[in-house]
Amino acid sequence: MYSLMYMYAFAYSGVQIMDRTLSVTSARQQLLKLTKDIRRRMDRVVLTNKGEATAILMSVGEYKSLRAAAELAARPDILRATQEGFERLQRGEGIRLEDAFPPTSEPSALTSPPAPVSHRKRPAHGRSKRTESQRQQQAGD
Amino acid sequence: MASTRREVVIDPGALEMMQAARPSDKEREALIHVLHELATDVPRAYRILFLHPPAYRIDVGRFRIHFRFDDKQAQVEFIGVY
Repeated sequence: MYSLMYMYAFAYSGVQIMDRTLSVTSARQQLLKLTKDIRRRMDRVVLTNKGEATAILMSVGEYKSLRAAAELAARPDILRATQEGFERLQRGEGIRLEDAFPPTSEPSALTSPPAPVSHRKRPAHGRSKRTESQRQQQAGD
Repeated sequence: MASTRREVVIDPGALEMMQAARPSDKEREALIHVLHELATDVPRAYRILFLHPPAYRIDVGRFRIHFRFDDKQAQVEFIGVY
């Protein structure tokens, strides 16, 4: 969320996102600080090995944004649909969420998050549930 | 962190695209849940770099949601698959 806010702020402030250059050895010594800066200030770090640029460190958010941009660049139909949707919304033709998906009376994902799916299995050594009559019967044996 | 509540407005074309992609009941529920989340938060969203004014994207399984937001409104302009 914070990285998103920073990206939003940068977009309007005109602040240039910095590209730093560091050797792999130097970066290794300050990796924790670098990752914090990358997350907080959206820095990019170009890593060099023997003077040659070999890799780039960047935030996951920015990486995902670049991938999304690449996907969209290959799909002009989606870009057009997005633009048309934006224009309709500007004309006030949007539908409120509550009208598009009216809440139902029964509890659902509309009002509560989906229940987490548990993949945990009962431990093999755990006691199985027995009814009271089963226990009494076993005790009688 | 205190959050303000936004109105979520959806483009009718985006709803048509969503239906055209034939979401399963589970996908539909997940999409509606994420759309409701936009009223208070934008979790899992990331900016689509070259769309202006800034647009954001959330991935919900195979579905993609594009939206813009400010303090008062979240405007959803695309719900579909690509």
